[in-house]
Amino acid sequence: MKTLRTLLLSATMCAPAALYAGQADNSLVWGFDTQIESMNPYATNKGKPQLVMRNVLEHLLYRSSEGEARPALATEWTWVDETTIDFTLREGVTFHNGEAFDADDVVYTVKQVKDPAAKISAQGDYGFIESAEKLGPYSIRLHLTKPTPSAIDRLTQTLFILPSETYEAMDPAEFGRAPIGTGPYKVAEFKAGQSVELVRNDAYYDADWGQPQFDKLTVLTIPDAQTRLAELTSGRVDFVWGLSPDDMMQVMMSPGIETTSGDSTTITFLSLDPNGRTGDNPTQDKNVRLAMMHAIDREAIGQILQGPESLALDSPCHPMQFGCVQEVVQYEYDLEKAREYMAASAYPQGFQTQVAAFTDNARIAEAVVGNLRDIGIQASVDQRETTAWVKDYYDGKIPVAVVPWPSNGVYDVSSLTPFFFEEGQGDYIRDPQVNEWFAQAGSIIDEEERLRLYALGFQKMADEVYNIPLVTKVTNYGFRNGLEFTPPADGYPLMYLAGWKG
Amino acid sequence: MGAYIIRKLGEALAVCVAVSVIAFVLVQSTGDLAVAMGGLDASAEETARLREVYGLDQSLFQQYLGWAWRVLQGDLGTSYFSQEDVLTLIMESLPVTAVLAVSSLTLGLLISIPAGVLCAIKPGSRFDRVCLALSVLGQAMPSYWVGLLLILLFGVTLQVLPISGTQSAASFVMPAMTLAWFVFPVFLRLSRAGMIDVLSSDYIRTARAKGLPRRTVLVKHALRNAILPVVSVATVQFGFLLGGSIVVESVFSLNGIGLLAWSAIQRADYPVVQAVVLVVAIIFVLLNVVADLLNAALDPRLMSEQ
Repeated sequence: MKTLRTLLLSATMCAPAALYAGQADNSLVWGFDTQIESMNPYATNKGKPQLVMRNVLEHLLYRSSEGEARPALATEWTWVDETTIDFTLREGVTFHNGEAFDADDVVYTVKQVKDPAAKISAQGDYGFIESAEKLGPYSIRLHLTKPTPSAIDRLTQTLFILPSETYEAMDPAEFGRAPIGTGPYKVAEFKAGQSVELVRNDAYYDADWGQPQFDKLTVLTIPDAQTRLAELTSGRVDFVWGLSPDDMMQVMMSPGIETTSGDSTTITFLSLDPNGRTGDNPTQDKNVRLAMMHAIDREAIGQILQGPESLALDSPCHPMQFGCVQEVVQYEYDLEKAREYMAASAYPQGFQTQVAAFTDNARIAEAVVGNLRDIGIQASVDQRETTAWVKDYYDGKIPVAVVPWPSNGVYDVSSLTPFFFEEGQGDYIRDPQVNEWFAQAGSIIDEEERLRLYALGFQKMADEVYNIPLVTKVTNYGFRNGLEFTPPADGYPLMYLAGWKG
Repeated sequence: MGAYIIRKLGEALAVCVAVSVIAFVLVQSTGDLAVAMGGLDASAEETARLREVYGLDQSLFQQYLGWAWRVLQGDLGTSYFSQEDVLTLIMESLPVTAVLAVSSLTLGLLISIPAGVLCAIKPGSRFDRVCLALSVLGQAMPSYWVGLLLILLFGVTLQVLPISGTQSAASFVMPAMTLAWFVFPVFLRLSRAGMIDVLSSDYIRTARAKGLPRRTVLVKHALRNAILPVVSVATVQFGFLLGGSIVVESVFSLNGIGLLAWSAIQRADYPVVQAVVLVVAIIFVLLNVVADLLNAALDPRLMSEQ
């Protein structure tokens, strides 16, 4: 493969200069790795297709490149109490088909996503919403199921507002072929699994962030990474993302292509089984956990597998997230110490184990396995199909696993802790004290108290080495010279914020 | 001949039913749709709700019977993700794959059969050795690699052919070359071996002794018999190609049936996977029947033997 990359790179350098139409006709072609089967945002639980849909349908709020919640379809919001938020909606907004946007659309959308019989993939994303109540033509009250301090941030990532009258008259599949939203771009043509052609919505309201820049935005699905890069270097595609560090090196040397890297909210950690959820296992021994912690070179894993911007973690959460306390006991990479702990453990001769992973997380698992073998742990990678991994992990059958967690892009650890540390499906720690601290912190609004409680929880987790925090994920981008693009803080590029320079 | 056809069709039907059962059980046991739909962060309650909404809480037997009954009525189901009719999805993908299969098979046959015949005329010659070396190379190089090399040459360096998509006929050139390269070794070896075998037989010697023109001996007498195994294998290969080459369709972003099946497998979109497997199995089985009938027509002794 390296030979091929070298060849591809050499050929790219020798390639004749192409006429790059994007900048000339003010359009952009986005090389996309995922097939989009429907443009109905409620037909998928995947963040990637929803990124395309965000150009067409909007949330009440959007997140700026700096990571702040800003007005979109809602212009103001006020916390009435811990479970109630009032929103003032933007007036004068119309959907692409001319239907006027008002409070009825928000109330209708909430009813749709809360309908127990609805064929919605990710209904769990809306678990924090109880209902929406119309207060006036342009004001609504959102009732939450419980105090949810991250509600405002979550609303920058979820709840695509549907046109009530239009949606009611169409079936979901029909809407998926020809979606109608209030967004900066309209769907001109949708070919399921192949491409989406968007054109600028000239009637777009005076948004907080500005106006859409491209006349046309085409999303072209190219599943194969090497083909995507070839299309970028040959000039048919203007923008690609999610490049591996190897791909980045290749693209960096291509003439006319710029690269940049940005953060994301995705972290990975090595889940252990200190409480014996899977039955008796070596990771119940604290000395084994300490040995593993010192044996795994997190810095190297981050730098090599993710890129130079990746951060090695001390707590299993993203430092950008509220409540993510990284000031906990530090464990440096030290093989001598690791071997001492192994010698002091109940397994001085080592043991056999498998590190379960899915998709490209298997690369991290391979690195971890290599590190663990250095201290006599005969580890191997157990790569699984995603759903098989999820099912067994949540059923408590995997003692050692690489867990990637994107937090749905939410800047609050309450988007993570309920799944892994509060008796959730992925809780292998089952420490009543930690559970209580986190559960309490996730259900109060007082920021100071929340931080105190999260600090207690993460500090205890680190003291006991309940799991091994690994690294943050870096999102890499490659695009044609002249594109004005700022990498988003959360790793989810909003292409309507981009445009050609000049 | 009529009884022979009926027997072959009966066997084909039995194979299709067996394939549908095996495909259903395998697909259901390899993933969990509710988990796939709910995603990583779905709660146990949400996963249970999805199972109920999509009828996945029923027994496997009940689910199969329901699916089979709908299939018999011509309803292949609805994709859980796109909510589109599965038959529509297949009918949209099949032409892409069919064009690719026909063009690559035609290209492969057009090159390999004449080459095989020429090799057989002078076995051990320089041309024969080059062809055999190429066939070894063709078998050794994975389609993925060949596809990327073609992209490198024609798409990136020369920029004369589109790299991905199905926007024009030119989009099929590189994928067809890739798959033709894949089928070339099989047909070359078959036609070469068949011709060598036939050319050494008594009736060819007799034909030559009678002073028949060389071309007549080769084409009319030798090739007709030598090509029998090529016909059988070509129909089977055509079935494989119609099943979709996941790798080639993925490399060149061709929205064919292979890519449809692959993306459906990744999402555990059972109705799509099951329908694709069933449709491909039917095509494959029918092609085998056609191959048997063609062979029987070329050599009527086969009917009495069976």
